[in-house]
Amino acid sequence: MREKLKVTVAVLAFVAAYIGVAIYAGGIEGAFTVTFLLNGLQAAALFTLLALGLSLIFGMAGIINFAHGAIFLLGAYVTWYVSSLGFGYILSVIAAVIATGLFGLLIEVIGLRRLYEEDELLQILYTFGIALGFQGLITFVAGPSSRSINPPGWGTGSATILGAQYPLFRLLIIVFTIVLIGIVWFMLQRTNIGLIIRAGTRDTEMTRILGHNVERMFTLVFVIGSMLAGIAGALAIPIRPVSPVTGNEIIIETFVVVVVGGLGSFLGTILGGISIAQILTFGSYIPVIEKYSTTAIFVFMALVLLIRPRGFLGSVGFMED
Amino acid sequence: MSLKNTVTNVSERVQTVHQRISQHQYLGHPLAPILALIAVFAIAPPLIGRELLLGLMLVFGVFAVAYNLVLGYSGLVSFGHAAFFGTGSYVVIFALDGGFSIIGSFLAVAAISAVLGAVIGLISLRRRGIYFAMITLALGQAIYGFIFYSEFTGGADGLILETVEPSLLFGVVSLDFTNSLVSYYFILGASLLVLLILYRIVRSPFGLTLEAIRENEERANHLGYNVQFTLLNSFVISAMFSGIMGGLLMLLINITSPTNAHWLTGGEVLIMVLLGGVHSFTGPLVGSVVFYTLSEVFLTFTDNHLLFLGITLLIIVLFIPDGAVGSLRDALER
Repeated sequence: MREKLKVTVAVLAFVAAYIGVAIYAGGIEGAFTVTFLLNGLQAAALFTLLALGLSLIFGMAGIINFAHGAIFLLGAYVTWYVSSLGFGYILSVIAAVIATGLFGLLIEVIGLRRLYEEDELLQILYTFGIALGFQGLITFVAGPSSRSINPPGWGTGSATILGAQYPLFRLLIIVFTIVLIGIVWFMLQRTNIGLIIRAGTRDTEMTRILGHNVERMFTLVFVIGSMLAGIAGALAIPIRPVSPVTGNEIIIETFVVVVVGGLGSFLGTILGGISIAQILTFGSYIPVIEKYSTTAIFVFMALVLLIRPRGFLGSVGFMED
Repeated sequence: MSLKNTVTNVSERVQTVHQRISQHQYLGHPLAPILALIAVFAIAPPLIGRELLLGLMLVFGVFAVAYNLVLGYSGLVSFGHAAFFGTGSYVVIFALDGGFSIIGSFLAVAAISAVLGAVIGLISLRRRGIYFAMITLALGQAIYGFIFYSEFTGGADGLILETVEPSLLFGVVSLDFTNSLVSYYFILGASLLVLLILYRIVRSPFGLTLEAIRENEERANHLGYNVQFTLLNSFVISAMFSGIMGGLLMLLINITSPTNAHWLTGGEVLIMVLLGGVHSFTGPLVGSVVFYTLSEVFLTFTDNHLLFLGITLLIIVLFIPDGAVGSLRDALER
């Protein structure tokens, strides 16, 4: 517990110092500071949703899902397509969640289920194949150009926070993500299913012996993780254009988040999301880093790994190899 | 089980192994497949033309063999090897345009990609398995990002090799790289050299140590091998030859772009290795030939390259996980 607190404080202190340097060196003034901070938090929300799904799947089945970006992409494109048919945003998001849940189910049932006992190389390659093929498929079906939609009518206004005008929709994303993370946390910590899932991550064999259908839990977790990625896609498309390449770009940043935060750690994933998002957001204001801000997060990851190979809050030994 | 039974069992097993070994003798010397392949590459241009396609098969095929030192022999999935390949292509252009000789340029490529490999290897080898894959991916993309966003590399447009005037090799032979056949045969010669060096490496005690680590890292460690150092060495060697192959590509096509350093380029090479078979020295080169042939056929229907890659990969993983060469060998052994 103490260690958790120490790491959290250290990470937040580093991020604060980094932001301080950016504000000082980049000459960011007054209300802009708040705007950028909120931008960072909003990016962190999307990263955390993606990373949480990835981390859940990994914790349960020991599989790194390279197709997670493809699922994000599906969520975004379904939202775009359903809205373009004239349905409201909320309906589109629900459609995206259902579609990504089904897609996740399909990925798990068709191939992954057969590969749990196999070499992890095959698991990586299977999901990598889906990631590549799906980018190709989306290009084939919807064309290579990027798509976006307008935020829904109820989210177009803006709110004033500490003197900064900030778009209401982006604020809602942050709030919604916090609620969603709370729900996932509650499900994992306070329900029977959550208990079985956590037991399954600790010791699959023992959980099976106790009479629980671990295979069904694997499928369930994969579907939940996919839905989280789908929601991230659905939330992203009103604020940033999404094209077929976005999926395989965002998966790399998500990997950095989980490596830095420590796979399988709830708080670590959130910390990872926040630090990576703020480094990205403020990086473009630090003179030397500027245009390399997308590269800066990789350097940050390398530093974290050198100091603490298991990431912020990853457990010792767990998946060290 | 009685002792007698055990002894019979063991002697039966020894016999099976002997049979397998003798069955393999139809291939003759272990180097025979490599030399045969190179011979095919040597006589192909006058027969079918298309030096460009053949050259690509060769460059990416040998890149795949070098990559397989990490994937197949050390058992580590790297998604960052395209960064070395891409860097090699840029360094050769800078060196040749900067007035270096052809040998000097490739020495520079070897040195720079080895150093880069050492840095990336030192960081990523702190973890294994899935983590290693993700870290190499991220660090490789960092190099891609650096190339993409820098001005001296020409940004997204890349660079063109200006100096393609005749170069002296060892101060003796004059090579005119504007002639595509001269470039092709130079690449062929260099590829053969790289293959022979890599073959020597995997057959050395060092190569055997790598396989031991792949099979059981803990045991190798307890036997007194310096696991970390051995793996780092294999990563650096692999990175160095990947860079050299990137440089050789420039003699073939004279133009580079950040795409050569993108992780999906590395992904293509990974697919080639899988097509040919992970547990075979020559496999990846065969995989490259199969890959480009399939891709030629597929791309006559649609120009959607990624769809092709994805489908190919899914078919390999779900139906022929040992790769073409591996499956062929299994079939022969049965």
